[in-house]
Amino acid sequence: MVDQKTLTIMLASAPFGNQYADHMCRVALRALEKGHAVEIFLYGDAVHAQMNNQSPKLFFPVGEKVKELVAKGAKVYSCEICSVARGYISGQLTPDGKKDYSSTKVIEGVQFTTIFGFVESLARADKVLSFGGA
Amino acid sequence: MKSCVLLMKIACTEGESWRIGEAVREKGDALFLLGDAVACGRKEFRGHASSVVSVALSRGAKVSASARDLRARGIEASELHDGIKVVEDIEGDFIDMTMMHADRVIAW
Repeated sequence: MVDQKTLTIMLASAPFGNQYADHMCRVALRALEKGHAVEIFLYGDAVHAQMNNQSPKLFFPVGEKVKELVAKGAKVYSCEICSVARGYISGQLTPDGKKDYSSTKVIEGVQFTTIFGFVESLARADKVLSFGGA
Repeated sequence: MKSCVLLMKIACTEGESWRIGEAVREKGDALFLLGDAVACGRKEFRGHASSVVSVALSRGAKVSASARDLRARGIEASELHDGIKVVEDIEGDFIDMTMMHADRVIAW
């Protein structure tokens, strides 16, 4: 077991159009297996990686890997505004004043935050990686 | 300062190649070729991207290519520049370098 460090990752590309999500999942899983803490932020089209019941058949199973990442202790955060825009959550205020993040479309364990939450994740990170986006 | 670069696509422009090349500039630095970027390691590859690999090797940087991604693209290890290490667990090596040794990490 190595000294535990924290790796923060931003994924900014959707799965299946290119391999950035695949590479991110493999790198993040390996970091977890080596004893590091991993925080992932899904931004822009990358929020499609959180979709439940993906069935890619011939492609890398990004959805299954996101579930595995959550199960192995990764904190997977998703951009709230990006997720509202793509219909994953309503983000509306509930009567008790909290935002509604309930959804059957999203893999269990994925948490919602804003870009400011990502900044907090950066502050906790020993190393930062970004995948895709350009 | 040790640098670690994870290259996942083929650098298409002189500017991209120059920036990546400048990041991997001395012994102890590491360049990891993953996904489509494994093609940059081919001796016969032409274009800006090939210079990234040859310059990194000439500077004494460690260059590794993903065995899985080479197989997926039908590229034999013998087609690669001498000095490129073909690695099955490239993510593991990359994490070790990134988390334990590198001062600067670039994912491209």
